[in-house]
Amino acid sequence: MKNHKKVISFPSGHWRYFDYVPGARNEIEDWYRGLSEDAQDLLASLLKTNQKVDSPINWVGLRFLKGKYKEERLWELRFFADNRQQRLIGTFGNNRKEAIFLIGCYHKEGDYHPRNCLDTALRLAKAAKKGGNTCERKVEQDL
Amino acid sequence: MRGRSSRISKLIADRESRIGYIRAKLAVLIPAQIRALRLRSGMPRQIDFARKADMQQSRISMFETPGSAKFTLETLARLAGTFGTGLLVKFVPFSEMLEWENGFSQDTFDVIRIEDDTDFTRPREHEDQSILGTGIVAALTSHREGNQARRQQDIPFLPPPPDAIGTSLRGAGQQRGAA
Repeated sequence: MKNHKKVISFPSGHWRYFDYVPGARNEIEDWYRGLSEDAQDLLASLLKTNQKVDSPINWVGLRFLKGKYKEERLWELRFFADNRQQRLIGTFGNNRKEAIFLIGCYHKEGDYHPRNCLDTALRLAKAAKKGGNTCERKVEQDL
Repeated sequence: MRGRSSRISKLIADRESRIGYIRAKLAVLIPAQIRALRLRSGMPRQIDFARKADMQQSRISMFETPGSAKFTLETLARLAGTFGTGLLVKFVPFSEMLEWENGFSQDTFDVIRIEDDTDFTRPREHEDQSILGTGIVAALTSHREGNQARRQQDIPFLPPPPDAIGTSLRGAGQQRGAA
């Protein structure tokens, strides 16, 4: 097969989601469990819908973070549930169509809660890039 | 996440769970549709679409943030009118709702705009009238020709067929139904 062009094939298909687990506890899962059942349903539906969207620019509820967070390509998934503006902050994995959730928080009156969550997310994103524990979050493919 | 069977049991047993579940679906699927249609419209920027919809840009942003907006039918009608699409709100079985969600893809979701909707813009009434007219003319012509033949053969004239118009109407109706 001389002069044969190398074809790089990308896996087409849905996005895969991972929780970044820096320590013993999966804090994304803790945050998720702290949401009401309605909010969990909403998040499940949101992840399910976005999973099928090729370009994350078009994800519903997604906003890229600016400033120093831009370097690590941090973004947040925004949704309103439990009377709060919920935020799930994440970044992209090293492989195509992989999203890594770093921290869950909420936004109120111009501030994130916990207050240092963006900086924590930045630190976690850097650690995640170097490789670290992740745990795949399966999307509920409804009933 | 939760098990399928326990989830179904809970949805069957508890009305509040069902309400919350439906609300969660709507909270994502309506913003996702709005976003998809906006990106495919000639107004991909929120601000441009907001101007056309006579709304604030912040409101469009809210509509596209899952769970943020409490959509009223009036709001949805205004959005549909701005997109140039129709709007269907109907009660369906849970299975149908989920089937629709499973098949929904923001990347492929699009709706034919009214100006391109030939099924809608085709002048049906006019077409029906011409079918109707053609039918009546054909029936009467046939009757007239029959009478001319009878005249030549000295056979008494026949009155117009009583069913000529009725047949034409039924014919037009059938064609309309088939269309």
